Amino acid sequence: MVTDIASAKAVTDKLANEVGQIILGKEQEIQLALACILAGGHLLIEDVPGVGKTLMARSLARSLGLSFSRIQFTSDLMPADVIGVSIYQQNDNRFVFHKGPLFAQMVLADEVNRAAPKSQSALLEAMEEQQVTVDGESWELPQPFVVIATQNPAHQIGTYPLPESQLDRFLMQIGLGYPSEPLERKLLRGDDRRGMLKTLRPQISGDELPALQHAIKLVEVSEALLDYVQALTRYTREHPDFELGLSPRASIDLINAARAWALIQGHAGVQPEDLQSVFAAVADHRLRLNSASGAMPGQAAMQVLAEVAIP
Amino acid sequence: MDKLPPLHEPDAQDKRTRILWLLTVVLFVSLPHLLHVNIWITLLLLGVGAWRYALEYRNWGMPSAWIKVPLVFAALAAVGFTYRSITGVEAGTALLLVMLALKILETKTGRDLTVVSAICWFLMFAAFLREQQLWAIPYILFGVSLSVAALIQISRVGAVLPSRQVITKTAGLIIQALPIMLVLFFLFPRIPAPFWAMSTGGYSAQTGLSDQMSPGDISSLSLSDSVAFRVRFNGAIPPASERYWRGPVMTYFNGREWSWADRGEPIVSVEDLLVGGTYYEYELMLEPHGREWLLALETPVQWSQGKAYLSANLQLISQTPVQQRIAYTARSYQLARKQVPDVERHIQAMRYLPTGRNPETLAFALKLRNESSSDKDYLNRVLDMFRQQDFYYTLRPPRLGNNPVDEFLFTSRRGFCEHYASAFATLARAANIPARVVTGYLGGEVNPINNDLIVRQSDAHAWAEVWIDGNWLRADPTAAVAPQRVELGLDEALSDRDFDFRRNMRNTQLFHQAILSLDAVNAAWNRWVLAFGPEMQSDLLRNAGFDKPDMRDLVLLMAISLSLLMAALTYYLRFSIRSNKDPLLQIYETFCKKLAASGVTRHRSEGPASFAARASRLRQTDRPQIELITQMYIRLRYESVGSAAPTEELRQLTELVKAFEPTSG
Repeated sequence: MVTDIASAKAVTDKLANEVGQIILGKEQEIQLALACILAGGHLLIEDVPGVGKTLMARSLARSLGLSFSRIQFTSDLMPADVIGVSIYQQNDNRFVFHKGPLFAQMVLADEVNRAAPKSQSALLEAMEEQQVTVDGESWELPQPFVVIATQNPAHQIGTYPLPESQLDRFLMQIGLGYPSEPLERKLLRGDDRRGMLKTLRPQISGDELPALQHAIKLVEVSEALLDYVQALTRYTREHPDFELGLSPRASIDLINAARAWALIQGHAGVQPEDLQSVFAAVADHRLRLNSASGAMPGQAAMQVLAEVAIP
Repeated sequence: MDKLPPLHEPDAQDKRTRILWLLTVVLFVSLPHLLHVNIWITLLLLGVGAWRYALEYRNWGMPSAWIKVPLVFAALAAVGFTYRSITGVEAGTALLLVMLALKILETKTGRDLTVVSAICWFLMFAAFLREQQLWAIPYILFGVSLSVAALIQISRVGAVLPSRQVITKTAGLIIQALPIMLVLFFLFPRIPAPFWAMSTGGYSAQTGLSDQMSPGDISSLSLSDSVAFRVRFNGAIPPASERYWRGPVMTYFNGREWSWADRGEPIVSVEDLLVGGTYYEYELMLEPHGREWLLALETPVQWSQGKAYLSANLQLISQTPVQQRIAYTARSYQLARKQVPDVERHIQAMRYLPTGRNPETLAFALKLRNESSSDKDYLNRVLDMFRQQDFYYTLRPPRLGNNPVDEFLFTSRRGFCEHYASAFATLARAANIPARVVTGYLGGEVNPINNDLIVRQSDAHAWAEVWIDGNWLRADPTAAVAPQRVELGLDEALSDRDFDFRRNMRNTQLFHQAILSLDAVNAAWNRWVLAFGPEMQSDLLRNAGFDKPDMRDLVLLMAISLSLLMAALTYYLRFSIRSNKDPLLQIYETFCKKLAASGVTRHRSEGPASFAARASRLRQTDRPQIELITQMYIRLRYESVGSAAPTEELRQLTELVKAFEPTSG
């Protein structure tokens, strides 16, 4: 089905189009989210409530033909609420594992920073391992498995912000932001978005996503581009503005994300612009700025891009 | 991506271009030889060149061995037949040219073409056997560049390079070779004599000095402006009337012909001379003339030419013929007297006159001597006769018969220096006064540009020397007839209308100035480059601190210098290769620079595609080129992984960028 870049691009175009009908004016973010999924990563959306985080996740799941479940994270959420629970079956005289909401191809973890670290790590471990272990028994998670977590930056009291080590598990962190005024007007005039969601038709089946994910390997990564990646990570490690630079895992993620982005653009090889396009999403949440530096949080990635020359 | 032009494969057009390059080089380097060799060789070369080009053009097959082998033997025989030899400069170059012509018929592979161009190098070198003048240097240098360029084109795997790239590449190669050339020039051990034997008989055909003198046989003396030698005085330049440059001294007279027989003469050591009066020190650069004599002011007592001696006639003689331009310094005293005991025996030969020849002269001499009080008085009366009676100085004297001196003195009375010198010496000998004729040069022109004295073949002169009171005195009867010849030079002495043109030419100030300037350059070239022989080489080494430089020092020094040079070159190349690791990046930088010059500057973190988009927006007219170049660059840099950038595409990109001229905003 997708054996070359052109046909892969055709598919991703359709996907982006479909999601774009629901989420207006967020082409960049939609493409980033798609790239994240194509690169086999998990996505963290950080933004204020009501800008369409959930809607984005739902429409992505629907157009990708993925099974979807939503977990609302609260402070009293227990790991079992996420993973599932073993219940004693009297008929069979044994414990039977009841799968939790985690067992879906796309899981929306809403307000992930509200839950206690124990529950958070249950999710994060599952993201990493692609399986859960209950009572010494391992359960494979459905494939493909994509987690989209959301965070609310505004209300930090009584929350448990994800530590850097955990943030690293998310390939990308993006924000959505308010829509522009004309688009918001269109939103106000238009149909109910949740109702429209039902009209979305899957563009591919869930089984086809792995093939699409595999297609990013068709995009070439040249030595010149690797030079650029290394120049960027070197800058974050050496520059005094940064307390924490980018890890090798971040570099790998960068390349994969850039490959996926390049595929969406239809490029045969990753170009510097492809890397630049995904850089903020991939790097920003992994960089910790020195408190002494005057740089604005969230601007760190832009600063790196502006400073580092393309080799 | 499909907008890109297709890859340029080497095709028939490229092959034709290569052959054309080679044929151009062949023609260029053989041109100096073609003027000298037999016409059939020229025709053969041109014919074969045209044939070879036609073969390529029409795509015909190469001639088979059945044609080539007989051709080779026929050509060999033809050279042997034409030149009666296959060695020597003339026959050798002829053979080389013929074989080169035939080799052209064998040029199939790149290797063959390389062989032909190697023969061309040899031909260029051979051109120096004929011509070492300054003007030949630019010609040969251009020939060298042309062959380098042709070699570059021949050795290309793909398509031939555009001319601009060939020029830069050639220049680069030649500049790299320059230091090596200089080291070899200064330090390669010089052999005292040229190893090619200059067996051409060319010198005797030129005007100049000879070992015999027979004024009666000459009815017209042709004048040659070619330079005989140049002199640089260490101090004041003597006045024109003192500048008697002594050459072959004629001592034997058979009644018609004076001849030089100095080779067997006893050698005078300088210690045997009594010297006095003022002296002149000078450096003389003598053009090759193929004979043994060296020129010097009278009388040389010191000279730097190692293998030269002073003959009994006080003539400076080299032991080997002057086959190449030589330079020597000398010191000459105006007064010199030989104080050897057997002088009388030597003098005796200078009284000899053949019996029965020129009887009228003999009778006249005896009569005049009897009327004179002394030998000196007699000779003065003879000079007075030349001065007062109607003797004329002309370069077009009538031919004289069996008693040339008689006819000259009593009938024709027209002649040039040789006639007067011969008649004067004969009259002296007839009065039993030892006399001899000296040939050489008189005067010369001072070049105001470098203060060199230029002595030309047209300054050749002959005068007499007589033995009076135990000393040789110079007597120049020409001075009695035409004093201007001595004081102002030949041109002033001429009265014939025929020479007006020549005089006018030389009097044209601008023309004359140009001639003198050119001569100054030529002299410097001769002095510093061509005359750089073994002597100058050991001087150089002595200045560098070697006590007694020998061949071993020279070879050692050369080896060390060359090694250092090669090391430096290697280091430089390594360094420069590292600094321009990626030609692709350089090309792209050139592209960015061109756009920056037009006002669109790429930020260092701006990717090529975004830059192209921005630049295209700002420079709408250049959009197609900007997009094409950027597409190629992205393809080469970001989309071809695992292999080096394909050279062909790289070349195309280079050309695109070179041709790219953005409109300025």
